[in-house]
Amino acid sequence: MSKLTGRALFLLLLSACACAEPFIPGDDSMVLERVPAAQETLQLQPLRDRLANNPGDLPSALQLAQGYLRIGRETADPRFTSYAQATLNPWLQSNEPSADVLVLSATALQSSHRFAESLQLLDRALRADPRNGQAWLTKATILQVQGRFSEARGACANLLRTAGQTIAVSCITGVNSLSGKLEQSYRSLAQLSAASGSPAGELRGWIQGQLGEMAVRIGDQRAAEAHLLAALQATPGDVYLKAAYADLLLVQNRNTEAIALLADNEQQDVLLLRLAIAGTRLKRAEGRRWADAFEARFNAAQRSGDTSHLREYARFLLDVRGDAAKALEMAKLNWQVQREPADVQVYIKAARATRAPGADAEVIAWIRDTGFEDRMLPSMQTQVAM
Amino acid sequence: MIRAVLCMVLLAWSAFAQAHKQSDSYLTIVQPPQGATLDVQWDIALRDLEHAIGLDTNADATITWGELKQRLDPIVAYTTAHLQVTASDSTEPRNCPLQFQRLLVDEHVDGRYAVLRFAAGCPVRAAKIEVRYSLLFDIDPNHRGLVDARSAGNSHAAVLAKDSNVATLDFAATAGRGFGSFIKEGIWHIWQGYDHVLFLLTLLLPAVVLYRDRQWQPRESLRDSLLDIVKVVTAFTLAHSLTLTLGTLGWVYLPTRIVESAIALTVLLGALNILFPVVRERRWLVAFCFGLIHGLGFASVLIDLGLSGWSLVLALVGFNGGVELGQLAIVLVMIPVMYASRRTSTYRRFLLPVGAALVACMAIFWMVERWNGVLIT
Repeated sequence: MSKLTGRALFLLLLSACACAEPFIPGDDSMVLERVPAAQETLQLQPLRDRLANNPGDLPSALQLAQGYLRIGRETADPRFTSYAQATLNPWLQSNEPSADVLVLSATALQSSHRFAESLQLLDRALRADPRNGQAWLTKATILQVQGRFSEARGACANLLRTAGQTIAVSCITGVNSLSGKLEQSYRSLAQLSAASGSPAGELRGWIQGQLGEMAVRIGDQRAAEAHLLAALQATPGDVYLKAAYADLLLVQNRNTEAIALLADNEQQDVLLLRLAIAGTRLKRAEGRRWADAFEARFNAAQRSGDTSHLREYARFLLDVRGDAAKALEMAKLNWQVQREPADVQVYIKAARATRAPGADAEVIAWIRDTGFEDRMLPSMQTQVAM
Repeated sequence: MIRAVLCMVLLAWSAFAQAHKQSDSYLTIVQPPQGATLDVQWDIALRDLEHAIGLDTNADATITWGELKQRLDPIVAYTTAHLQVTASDSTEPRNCPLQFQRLLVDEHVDGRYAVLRFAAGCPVRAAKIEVRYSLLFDIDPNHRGLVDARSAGNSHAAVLAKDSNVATLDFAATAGRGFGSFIKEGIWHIWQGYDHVLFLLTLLLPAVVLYRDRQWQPRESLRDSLLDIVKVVTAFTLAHSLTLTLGTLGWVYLPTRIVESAIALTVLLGALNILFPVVRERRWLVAFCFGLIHGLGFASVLIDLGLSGWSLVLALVGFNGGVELGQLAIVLVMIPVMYASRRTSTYRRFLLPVGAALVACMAIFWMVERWNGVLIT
């Protein structure tokens, strides 16, 4: 068979897939879908039932919402975040919602990148209960994501008297590591981690994850790998940590390992993106499938007006499609919403790839103002010096 | 206190990784060109139905086709309670009750969906419909309903959300435009598809002359010429209308590559027949036979639109009408020019043979291109 015929056949097959029709499965035992987090959801069922029978049961509602938020974080599936919102809604709409209701609702909004609304709820909660540690922590996190570092430090400081030293220091080092004190923050947090023995699973996962990300930016890939693996051991299957570890593997061109790490994670868009990058680099057939699947999901999400994927989409355009101009456009839009290391990176890389002079001026100015450090950024030193 | 906060650290740190598609359902409402009943198809993610009413009856973390079928009644009850379609025909709005018809399954970008087909029996043929949508909003405030309403080949889209859950879709405004757009499409198709025009010309050009004593001679009467033209055009029209219909309905099918190459061949044969006349008087027969092939070419345009049911028939009538109008316009311009110049030697000695030779070359080029083209692109 000639190469051309082969290609024509391939295109034909592709178009056949694209216009798949609704069908009637031939076999009753055919598995149509896997239920995500089935075990955890099942555990919440008694709470759901209790609330259904007694719609005014606030303690059950708070517990249920927390359960949904936790599953939402683990699976990176926004449906669960929405379920938490729905659970809290009756109280949130009431005249004077309690601080707990406000804080959990704010957490849900934060997950769907609705930062401004989330901050509003947190401020309401803090007016009602100025000693609410969770509210201060969530507020600090959002401010940090938005790149408002001095305000974030202020929020962290309040944690000292409301949540204890470990959490307060973790919070402050997290902010400082982004604003001019990267190595110093890394050392402080590592010391704290050693001094506090081995804290409980989730807190340990959090601290090790933070250390891992700092080590990445310091450029110490070996330390970063150790921290991220420790974090993943503390909270296995965590999508955020998996993405961070996959990125470390991708930076080192360990594409096969990245694919092995994420083999079962096609459902999570952020991880699907890493699969697409690794698969494309290795020129594997799945690479193309993953890339098309990611793009299809982005387009479907956009159709319903959801734009929370911009960071990932910009990176996809740059690393998979090689479309620097469009990637830069997306990175700029994304920059209006969030300013985490990943956002800085995709912006600068896309700007450099377009070779347009001054395309990264906005972000370079921001780096100069904030003292943001990341050794992994392309030729950062020279650019900042200029 | 500290313990409680510790437990919640994770929530704060939460989910900046949470870039993931939200829950959407896809609601397609089609108004056939006739009758008051609307065809409704509703694609709902199995994961959403699982959370709303429970599908995984044996709690093994998978949803099977058997489980889905088993839960059909509650699914229908749940969905129909959350969708209201009302029709108005310039009087007051009236409810269109949803009658469940079929359950299927489809693959979407983010997993499998249940596909529910309903017939919405409106009491009157709707000029306007209103869709009132409340699926899942009580348990998932970020859910979206993506509505696509189609009538006569045109469509309206709307995104419904918890705080904007009603869409009004005006069918009347699109109905006329839909038909008109197909007529326009038909006219453009024949004007821009030079192959159809050239084929017609190879049959029309000789209509004002007669082949006698090994050369083309002018016809004496306009009546004879007109009669000849009418015969050719009518035969061509009948033939291509026939295969356009059969092809569009899917009753006759030939691969595009063969059809397009064959169309080029008909142009070549038409041109050769001017240079070396074989068929002289009965060119209408040629027009008919070859017209059958051209009709299949027209059909591919409509097949590509992927219409079905009555909207397809409407498109067919509109498109065919457009093709005839476009063709008629060409004929009406050509007749006076041809008739007036038929006595000139330029027409008989130059325009006919040189034109035919050029057309033949063109046709050969097309044939080669089209036969190979599918392989290349």
